[in-house]
Amino acid sequence: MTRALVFSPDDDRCLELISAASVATGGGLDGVDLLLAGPAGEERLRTPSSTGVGRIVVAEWSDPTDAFSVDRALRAWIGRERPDYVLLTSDRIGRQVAGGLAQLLGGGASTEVVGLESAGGSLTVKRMVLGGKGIASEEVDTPAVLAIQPGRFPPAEASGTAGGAAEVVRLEDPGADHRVRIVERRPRERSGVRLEDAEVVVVAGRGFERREDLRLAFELAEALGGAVGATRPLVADLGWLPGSDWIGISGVRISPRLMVAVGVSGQMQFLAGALDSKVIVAVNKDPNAPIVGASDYAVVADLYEFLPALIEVLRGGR
Amino acid sequence: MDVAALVKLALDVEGLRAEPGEAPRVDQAPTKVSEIDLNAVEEAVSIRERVGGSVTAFSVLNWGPLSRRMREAREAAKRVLAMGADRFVLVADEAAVGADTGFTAAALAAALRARGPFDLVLAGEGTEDSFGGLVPGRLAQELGWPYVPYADGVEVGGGGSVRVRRAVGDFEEVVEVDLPAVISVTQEINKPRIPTLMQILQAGKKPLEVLSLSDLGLPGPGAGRGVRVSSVVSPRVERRGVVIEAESPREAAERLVEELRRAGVI
Ligand SMILES: Cc1cc2nc3c(=O)[nH]c(=O)nc-3n(C[C@H](O)[C@H](O)[C@H](O)COP(=O)(O)OP(=O)(O)OC[C@H]3O[C@@H](n4cnc5c(N)ncnc54)[C@H](O)[C@@H]3O)c2cc1C
Ligand SMILES: Nc1ncnc2c1ncn2[C@@H]1O[C@H](COP(=O)(O)O)[C@@H](O)[C@H]1O
Repeated sequence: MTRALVFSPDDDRCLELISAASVATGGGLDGVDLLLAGPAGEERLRTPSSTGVGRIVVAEWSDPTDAFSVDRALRAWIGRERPDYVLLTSDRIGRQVAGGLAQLLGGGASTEVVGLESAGGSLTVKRMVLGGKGIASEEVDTPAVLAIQPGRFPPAEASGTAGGAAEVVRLEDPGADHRVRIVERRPRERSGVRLEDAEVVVVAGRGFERREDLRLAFELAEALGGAVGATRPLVADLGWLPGSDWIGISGVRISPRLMVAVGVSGQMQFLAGALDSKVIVAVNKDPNAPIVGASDYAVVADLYEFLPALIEVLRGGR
Repeated sequence: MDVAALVKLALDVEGLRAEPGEAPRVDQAPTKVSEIDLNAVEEAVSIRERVGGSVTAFSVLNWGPLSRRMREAREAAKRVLAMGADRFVLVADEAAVGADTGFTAAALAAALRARGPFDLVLAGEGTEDSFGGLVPGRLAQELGWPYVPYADGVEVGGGGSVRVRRAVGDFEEVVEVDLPAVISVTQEINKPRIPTLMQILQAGKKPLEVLSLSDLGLPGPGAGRGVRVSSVVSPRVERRGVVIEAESPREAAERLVEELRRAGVI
């Protein structure tokens, strides 16, 4: 019996992970156990078994946004069922729990997974390494913990109506690890749309001299009907876009129709999060900046002169 | 407080040559201390400065060839010692070259046990060359200690616990964790100090200990490899590479908009 345990805080991502599980096992999967952390609505409990989900594991006491509580639920199920595969999303929660779970299972683990291949009973994982300069093929032993990048697999679909609803299993709370206590918790401010979902993203980099100047990026985004994102230093060091995520290997990955990178040098750690953009436009005053070679259209110009002109042209000003 | 800082000698990805569709020239690229691990060292040293104790850096060599990497490792160790670490423990063994994260964690656990006890292990959030973020969590499990990743701040109180400030998903948290514990840090936690010439000279006198796997009583080649890297190729980026240079910003803007309209992007 080959079984996979799947968890993501996001329902759509769960369906992607179910597809990934099926690819990982070369179709030889006997069943997926889907962990639902937190109160589960009626609708989620009626997930059809034809999506591949055999059991819905409900941990009502668990909080899907709290990595420690997710870890506790996963461990409780793993201790009981010892699944062959554990599939997670490669975000901070997934990366937090992946190592410990792999060591617990005594198996392999890969994070930032972009592709899977299964042949002759062995699993090969593709992941981005060397700051985005390489895609490594890694052969992973089972049991395996795989943290998958969002959007890499098509969501699983119910095939036909046979089989009815998946079985629902309630998971008892094994009790908290009292050595770790969350003493304060507050939601981060979000500045607008989720970048992962945006069709057009204007990225601001260190080429912007002052926080106020980001106004230009926002105006450009508005003219293009898009969202504003930033490189890591602008968010993490300078806090110019408080609470938002940066784009890159340690931040979020975007896959918009159009990315306009303004005052961004294009270091691999940044580009690794933007490689899936369909069209990349770079605005940089340095013709030798790496972003110039990594873009479809590069405008070599001072952003302070070029952006106002571009915004005007886009708005139809003649 | 006795603190261990985990330091990986990562491939310097800046200096790595990569042709699309081919394997990057890994053997030709130098290694250096993975950037975020310098933040871990800085935090360890500043904790010792605040509350006393000691700082020991641990590193398992993951890249070969060993002869060349040993030279680089000695340089790296010198830098870490110059920043204020008291001693450096290097696990160097052909059998550990190319080891997966499980094996690396087991080797680190054995070295920590051999040279401990420690109250706190500080690691980086992820390494520059692999960014797996797996080693610290595996190590915590191996030691049976709690694990708190992504620290943007660490506050050492009394009473055998520390407070960690971090961001995960849509939340900011303050997590109190009992010691001993494993904590990983982000690049934002501090600014690693640049050692003075004097400190660099003095670092040469601090202890650097080199251990083999058999010194640690660990099994030899092949053992505990849950992941084997079969190949690495550079991704093909197919971009059009049109460079727009124009007389005036206005002209450049018009040309760009025209191109994007023609390509059907806007
Ligand atoms: C382990 C690790 C993980 C990391 N993860 C990430 C990550 O996820 N995301 C990320 O973004 N970074 C990440 N980084 C940092 C990354 O290496 C770079 O430091 C960062 O991406 C650089 O940001 P930048 O392009 O905004 O700034 P810079 O590199 O300083 O580039 C600024 C650019 O603006 C141009 N410029 C300046 N003035 C103007 C002007 N007036 N008009 C036009 N152009 C101008 C300059 O020519 C330059 O090219 C990571 C680093 C490490 C070590
Ligand atoms: N070979 C190693 N030797 C010492 N520490 C390591 C090693 N590999 C990883 N680490 C530590 O674990 C962190 C995360 O590494 P990784 O799992 O490779 O992303 C690094 O920032 C280091 O602190």
